[in-house]
Amino acid sequence: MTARNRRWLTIVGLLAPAVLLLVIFLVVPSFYLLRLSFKEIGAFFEILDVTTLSNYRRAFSDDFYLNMLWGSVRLTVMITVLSLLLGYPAAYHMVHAKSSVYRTILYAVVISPLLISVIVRSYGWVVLLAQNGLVNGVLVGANIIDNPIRFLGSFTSVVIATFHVLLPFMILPIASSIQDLDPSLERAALSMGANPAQVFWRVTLPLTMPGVMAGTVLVISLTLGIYITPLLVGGPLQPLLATGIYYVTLREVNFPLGAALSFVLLAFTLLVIGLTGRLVRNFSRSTV
Amino acid sequence: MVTVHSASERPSSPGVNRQPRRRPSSGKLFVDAVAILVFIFLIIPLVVIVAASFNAGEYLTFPPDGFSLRWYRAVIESDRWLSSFRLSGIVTVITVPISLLIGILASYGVVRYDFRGKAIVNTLLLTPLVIPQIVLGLALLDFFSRLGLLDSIPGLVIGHVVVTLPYVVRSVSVSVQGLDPMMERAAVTLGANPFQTFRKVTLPLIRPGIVAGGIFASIISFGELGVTLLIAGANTATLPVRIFGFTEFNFDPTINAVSTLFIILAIGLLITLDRFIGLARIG
Repeated sequence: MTARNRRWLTIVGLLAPAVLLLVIFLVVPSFYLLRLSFKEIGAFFEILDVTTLSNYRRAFSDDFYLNMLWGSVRLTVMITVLSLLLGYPAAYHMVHAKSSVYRTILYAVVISPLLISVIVRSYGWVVLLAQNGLVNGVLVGANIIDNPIRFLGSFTSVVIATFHVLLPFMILPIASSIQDLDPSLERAALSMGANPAQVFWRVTLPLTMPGVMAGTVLVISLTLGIYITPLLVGGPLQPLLATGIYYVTLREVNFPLGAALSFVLLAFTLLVIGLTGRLVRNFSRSTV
Repeated sequence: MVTVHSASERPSSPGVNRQPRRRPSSGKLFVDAVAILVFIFLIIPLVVIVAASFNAGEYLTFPPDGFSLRWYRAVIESDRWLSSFRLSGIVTVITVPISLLIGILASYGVVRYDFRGKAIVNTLLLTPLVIPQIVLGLALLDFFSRLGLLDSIPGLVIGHVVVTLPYVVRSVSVSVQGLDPMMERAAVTLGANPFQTFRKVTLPLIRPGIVAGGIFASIISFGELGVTLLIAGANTATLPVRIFGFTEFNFDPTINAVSTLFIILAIGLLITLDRFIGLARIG
C-alpha cells in the first residue's frame, strides 16, 4: 500500500461515520421534505400524487401566512436590537468585574440558561406571567393596576420570553471579544486625552465588532427558528413562521403545506445569514 | 476553582501600571446599572421556579405559603415522571458516546488533513446548527415515519446524535488545533504504531475538548425538545416532552420540582465546566 493510499484511507476512515450519518439523516430527509412540499392533501388528509406549486403560492398570497412571515421579521428585529443594546453593557460589566468571585458568578448566570433545557427557561415565564403569577401579583399588590393583565397568549409575552432565552447568545460572543481586547489600547486613548465616551466609540466598539457581528448573526438565525418558547407563552396561533409550521403540520395535519413553509423559513434564514456575508465565519469561531 | 480572568489582569500586558483611580463617570454608573438589571432579568425565572417548587400552595403567591417538599414527593410517586426520567437518562447515555466517537474522529480528520471537498465537509458538520429545529424535526418526522422509527428509542438517539454532533466537533476541534503534531511524531519515532499513538498521546492531550464536548452533548441530549417533540410519541415521552405536555394542557405544580432538578443538574455541570476549561472560555 502506498503512503498516498494510506493517507486517503485514514481521511475516509475518520470522516465517513460523520458524513454518512449527516447525509442519511439530514440531507436525504431534507430532500424528501422538499419533494413533499410540492404535493397536496386530499379531503381525508391523504397525500395526493400530484406535483404542484400551490403550497408555495398559498404561503405567499394568503394573509394568514404572510402575517407569519411579517411577525417573524418583527420579532427578529426587536430581539436583535434589544439584545445588542442590553447585551453589550452586560458583557462589558461582566468582563471588567474587579472581583473574580463576582465575575465567575456573572459568567455562571449567563451560561446557566444554556445548560438548562429551553422548556424549563420558557416555563419560568409561564409561572411569572400567569394571571395569578408573580408579575401580576406585584403589580396588583402595589396598586399599579386594578385587575391582573392577561400576558400569556400575547405577542408581548413572546417578545419577553424569547429575549430572555436568546440573550446569552449575544452576551457570550461579545464578552469573548471584549476579553481579547488589549486593555492598554483603551488606556492609551485615555492618556492621550480622549474622554470615556470617545474611547468607547472610537476604540472599544470598533475593536469588538467581530463579537458583535457573531452574536447578531447567531441571534437572528435563532430568533427566526425559535418555536418552543412562543408556543409555550403565546400559544400555537402566534403570527410566527416557526410556530405556524408546527400548527399547520401537527394541528391541521397538512404536512405538504408545513413542508413548504419549512422551506420558506429555511430559505429566509439562509438569505438573512448570507446577507451578513463574510461575518458568518465568526459564527463557528466564537459561539457556544 | 476560579479561572476567569479579567481583561486587566491578563498575563499578556505585563508591567503596565494601573492608572490612578478616577471617580467613576456617570456613563460608567449607567452601564453598570443596566448590566446588573440584565443579570437579574436573566436569573429571575429560574429563581421563581425554584421558589415555587418549595412552596406549600399550588400557586406561587407573594409572600409564599410556606416551605414544603410535597411537590418533590409527588414527582417521586408519579410513574409518568419517573418513566420520563429513566427514558431521558437512557437516550442521553446512548447518544453521548456515539456522538463523541463520531465527533472526535471527524474533528481530527478535518483539523489535521487537507483534502478536496474539505469546505463541504466543514459546512455539513455545522449544518444541524443552522437549520431551524422545527425544519429538522419535520424532515426527521417524515423520514422516520417511512422507516418505522417514530416513537422509538433508536429514532430519538439518531435525532440526538445529529443535533449534538456540531457541539462535540466544535469543542474537540479547538483542542486538536492546540495539539502539537511534534508530540505524535515523537511517539511514532519511538516505535509506537498509529493506534498506540492515538490512544496514548493524542487522546490524553485533547481530553479537555472531549470532556467539554461530552458535557455539552449530555446537556443538549437530556434537555432537547425542538427536534424531539416531533419524533417522540406516547411511548417515548422524554422529560422535556413530558414537561411540555403538562404545561400545554393543565397546570401542575410538580413541573416546578422537575424543573428545579434540571437547574440543580446545570449548577453541578457549571462547576465541572469551570474546573476543566474555565467559564470564560466557553463564550
